[in-house]
Amino acid sequence: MSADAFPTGVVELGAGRRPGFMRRHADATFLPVGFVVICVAGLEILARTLAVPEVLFPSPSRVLTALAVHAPALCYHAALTMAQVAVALFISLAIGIALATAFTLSRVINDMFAPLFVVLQIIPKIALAPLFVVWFGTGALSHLGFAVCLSFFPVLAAARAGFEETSADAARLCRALGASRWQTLFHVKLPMALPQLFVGAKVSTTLCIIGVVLGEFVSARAGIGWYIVQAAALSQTANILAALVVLSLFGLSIYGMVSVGEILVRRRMFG
Amino acid sequence: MAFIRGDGLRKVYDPDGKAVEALHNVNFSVEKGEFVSILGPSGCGKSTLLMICGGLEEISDGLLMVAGTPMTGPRRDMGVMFQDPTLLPWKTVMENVLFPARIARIPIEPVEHRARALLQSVGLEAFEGHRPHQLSGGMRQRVSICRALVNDPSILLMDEPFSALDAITRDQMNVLLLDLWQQQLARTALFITHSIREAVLLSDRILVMTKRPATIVEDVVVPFSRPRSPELAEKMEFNQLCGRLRGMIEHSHVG
Repeated sequence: MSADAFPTGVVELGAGRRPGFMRRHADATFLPVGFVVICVAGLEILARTLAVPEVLFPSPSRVLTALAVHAPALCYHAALTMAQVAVALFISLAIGIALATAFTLSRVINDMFAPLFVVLQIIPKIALAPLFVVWFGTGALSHLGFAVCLSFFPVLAAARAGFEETSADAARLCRALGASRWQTLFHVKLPMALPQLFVGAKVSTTLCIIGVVLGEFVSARAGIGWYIVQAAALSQTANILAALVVLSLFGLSIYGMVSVGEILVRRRMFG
Repeated sequence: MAFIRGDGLRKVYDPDGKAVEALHNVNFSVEKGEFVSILGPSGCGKSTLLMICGGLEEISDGLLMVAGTPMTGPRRDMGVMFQDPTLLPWKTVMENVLFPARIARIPIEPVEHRARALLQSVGLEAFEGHRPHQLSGGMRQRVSICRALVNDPSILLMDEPFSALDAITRDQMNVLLLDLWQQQLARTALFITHSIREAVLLSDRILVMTKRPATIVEDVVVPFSRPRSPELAEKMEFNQLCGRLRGMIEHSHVG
């Protein structure tokens, strides 16, 4: 009996130490989800037992009800916001990469402007949000402008780091082949910078969301930021939290798309 | 007239005020169609000399003539191989071989034929669509040879191309290069190495470099007729020449 049980125990120990592929992924999903479920349950119990006024702290079940009741309106406003986030992200990528390219191609441009952009970065840009309303009006244009202003810098920094990362060997090969600066950029530097660019794009995604929502706080006629401001004016705390849940889910989906893109590119390019 | 000719070449690096002389009065010449090795210990400046011949480094003093004109920068009719194969990881084997043609913006189709023939001659015809990370070190360096030869260069420059490989693979690569040379897929070659046997097997002429001063001290003609086979390395004359070269290098180090 014991001789039989002993080897089984060893096998189980081994399996426990090195969980399989499925097991690891299941853990990575279930552990955080389980934690969130426990927290929500705890909040629900707290809200009910302490009888906190709903304006101050609505119970999760109240938020869930608000979510269900206002789902169409919430999704409409969130989709509007997210469309702007996607456009802002696209413009940020374009501007960041274009600036990094200019810095890489010309030493003069680099020396003249690169320090200025770092200085610009230190300015608290959130304070500029009302200025964008003055410049671009109350519509999507001012949200886009503000979001781009907030979020292009991580792309620029990532692209520059990526371009500079190009191995000395590859750069030497290009010179030996008589490649022009554009050819070196296009054939070698840009592909090599892609992993770094995705890191920048991820940071930029979250900043774009912040930028658009903040722009909507300042002035808008629709969008999830506008919805939150409206709900706050009416003290509909449950609606605010429901809007936050929807915003987070939409934000996660954009972030997820960027991450999937990153994985695909890494696989495609570096095996 | 010599195809490549260096007269009084001097190279001084000046990183932080302290000048370091990497090359001191180097004189040499390579005839058209010759396979010349530069043999010397590490740090003697032989790689610097090759980079200068490739137009990748500037000379501080002296004159370097290639095909009758002073060297000003990288030439299009030059193929280069480095110690690292330097393949682009996102391109297939075929695309890596075609890379010089893409940079030179010449029509790809005729080059593709040559690329395919080169890959076949190094035994990689089945790997055209593979990516570098799927290949062994020796295979990668073979791709790098094909890339260096794809534009049919009039000069092939090789900077210790096999020194990162294991001894057995290295022997195989020597035989392969000997084959390519004897099939006249490559023409004039300048080959950097610190392996005496490699230099003797492959070269028509060997230039021996020393560390201090960093210059060429001997110009040794390798008398063995071509085509050569790897069995040449078993012959007494081969080993005697290796011994003589070893003596020269050791002597110059003591002196």
